Amino acid sequence: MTESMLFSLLPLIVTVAAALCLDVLNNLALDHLGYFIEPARLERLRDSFLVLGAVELLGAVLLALRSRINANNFVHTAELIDQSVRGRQEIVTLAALSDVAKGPPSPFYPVLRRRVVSYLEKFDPQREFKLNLGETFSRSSVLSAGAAFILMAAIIALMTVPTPAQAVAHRLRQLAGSMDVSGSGPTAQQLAAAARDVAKDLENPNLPPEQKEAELQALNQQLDKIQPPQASAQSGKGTSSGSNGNGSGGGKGSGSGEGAGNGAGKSGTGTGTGAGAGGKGNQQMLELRNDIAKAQAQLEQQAASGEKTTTAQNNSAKGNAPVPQPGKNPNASSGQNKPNGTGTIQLPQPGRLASNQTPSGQNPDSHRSDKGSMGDTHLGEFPKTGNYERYYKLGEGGQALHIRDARYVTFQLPTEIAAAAGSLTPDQARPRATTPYTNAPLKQQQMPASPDEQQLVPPRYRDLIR
Amino acid sequence: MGAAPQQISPTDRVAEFRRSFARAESEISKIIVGHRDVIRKLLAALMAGGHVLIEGVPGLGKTLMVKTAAEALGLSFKRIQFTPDLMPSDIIGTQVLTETDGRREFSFKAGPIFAHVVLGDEINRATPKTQSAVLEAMEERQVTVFGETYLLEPPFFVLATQNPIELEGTYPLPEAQMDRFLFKVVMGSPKPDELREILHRTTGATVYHPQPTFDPRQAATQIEELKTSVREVMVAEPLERYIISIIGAVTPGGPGASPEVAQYLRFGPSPRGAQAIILCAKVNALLDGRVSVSYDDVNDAIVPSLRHRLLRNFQAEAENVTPEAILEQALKRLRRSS
Repeated sequence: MTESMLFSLLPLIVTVAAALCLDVLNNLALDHLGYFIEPARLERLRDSFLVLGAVELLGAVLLALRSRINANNFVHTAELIDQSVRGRQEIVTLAALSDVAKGPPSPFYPVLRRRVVSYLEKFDPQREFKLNLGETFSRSSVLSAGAAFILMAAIIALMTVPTPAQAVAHRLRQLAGSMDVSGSGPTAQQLAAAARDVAKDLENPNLPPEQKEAELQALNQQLDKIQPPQASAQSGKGTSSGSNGNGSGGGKGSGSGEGAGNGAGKSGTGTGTGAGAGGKGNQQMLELRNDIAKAQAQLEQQAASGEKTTTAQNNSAKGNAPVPQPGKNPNASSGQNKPNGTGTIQLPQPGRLASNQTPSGQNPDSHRSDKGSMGDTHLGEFPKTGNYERYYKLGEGGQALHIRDARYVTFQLPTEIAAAAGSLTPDQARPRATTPYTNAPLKQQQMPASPDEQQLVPPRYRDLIR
Repeated sequence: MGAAPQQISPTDRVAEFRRSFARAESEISKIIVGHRDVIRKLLAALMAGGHVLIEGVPGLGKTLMVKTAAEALGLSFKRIQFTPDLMPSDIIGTQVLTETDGRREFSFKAGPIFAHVVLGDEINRATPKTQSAVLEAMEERQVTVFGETYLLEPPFFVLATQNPIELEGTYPLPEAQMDRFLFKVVMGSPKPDELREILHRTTGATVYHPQPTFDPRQAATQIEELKTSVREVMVAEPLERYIISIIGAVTPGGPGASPEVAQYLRFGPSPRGAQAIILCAKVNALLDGRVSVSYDDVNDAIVPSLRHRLLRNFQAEAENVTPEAILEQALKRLRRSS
């Protein structure tokens, strides 16, 4: 029974430890790798681990119970002794047939009893049934390693790259947690509660970006009250170049210490807000401010893009706005640069290539018929790229057809075309074949060479050329 | 040796069984080269009170083995060569009109089946009607002629041979009749060393004769005592359950049956299969000096006891899947699960 319990103990410890260390693992993964598990998923994962631990505990109890029942089973114990002394089932036979009330089952019973006694004289229960911890733990460690592997795989599978808002929310929770632990004053407690509220709101998809941005701004102010940004590190200067619906920007921070700055710009000429901390500043606070700035920029961008197109707004309100998928549509047009357009700084985001970004609120197909122009530089126009059609490259749109050596190729035009409401209607304008076509090979054309082209074959080649 | 079982101690009875068995084996081996396992199974079936079907190609010494066994045991021996025109009365006997003191009356003329050891040579060449006559005698250990029942003197031991080739003009034994045989043993070809020994023994001037293990006047009684000893060997409940699980594992749709069993078998063994396993295991235990059956004893008895009781389907025959292969696979699966 003890062995059974010990066998189940190690996997149980691994599972429970994994459940308890999930937060730490999540923080480490975000700090060092840039990945994290979303809070809702994290909670579900922790619950799953705890359920798994409970199942393992139940299994351990069942194993122990079975061992206890077997230990009280006379015949089963006899079988174990039989195995240990190599009794060839004589002990178990004696145990199974030793019903005194029924009398001896066979005239050979005394012989059997004598043989069993001779076996048992050599049997030492202490030696044969000693607790073998090493073997138990070695078997259990294999199981534990398997459990740990599965748990780690589950954790890795659920990890994603956080958006700036999610990163800010995560850091706000961390900050709130550290404030709770340090237990410093009611102001800090209020700030911790406020940080938790903001974190919750930031992850709420139903809230408008403006509200989130306002909350972040308010939180930033609260942070400034507690820990004012140092003059040496806070001077930030933002430069941005924007376009209509798309922009790029960069921030520069300068100071005596190490600083970092982020800028958010509008209408081409950016106004930057920078946050920086000195070399010995609070690193956590610095990162939080950075993340807040990033999130503000993103929210600002979202808010700006939401005003551009009604369709996009509607879609955003429904929460199902189409997101351009990288590499899906080869004919999609890129963003058009306009020098005086209102732009928002688009911060580089992990996992999203700049070349794949389509301006928000614009239909990628709207410029499909654009022919492009060289632009009139006198009028300040820039050359405009043409929207060209191209076919799929080899392997891009599925398996390529190899028709190089084909004698003939037949293809069929669609007989029906798409109509409204997803229905199909007969295509009346479809070209009709005027000559019958079959899959028969084309007739071999025998073009007799004109007399001018006829040439006598040199005698030495006549046997070779036929 | 001639003492009643009650007068000698159980330990001596076990020792006597081992001694008699070993001596009979040794005497038969003086004539038959190799085939130690076949000889052992043949004697085990005799001690278990069953009959044996021997399968092998012609010329392997099947008939000689049976004849030698009868001589070595000191038992009466009769041989019946089965042919398509053999009638049941040719085997079990018939009423003949005789004249005694001027009175004419029918008297029973016993057939060759009235012997301790009966060799049914090429049993699959006789018609089913004749086969049935023998097989009924095997099961009932008595024959009935014109309403008169005649008991066959124990130990009544039938050894039938059949040839796996030249199947034209034969009447394969029905499954129900195959079930009457306790074991089916297969004789293989001799190894080169054994063949050389066979040549020495059979082509030289010296003629070997087995010495009877038992006094021919008391052989039947003594063998019956040994058979009683076999029946008194004990079997524990876990081993009985193991044997039952074996039967289930090779019965299509039975508990623990593998998909292969369902795929290749039409029917599994009857309860006679389990009886055969237990009896053979008991003999094995006694031969090892034990009075209780072990798992090894059971495992050794499985193939000869069950191989002729598995009724294969067409697919198994077409794919040449042997009953031995099915048994082996089922046993492997059973051991893994346990």
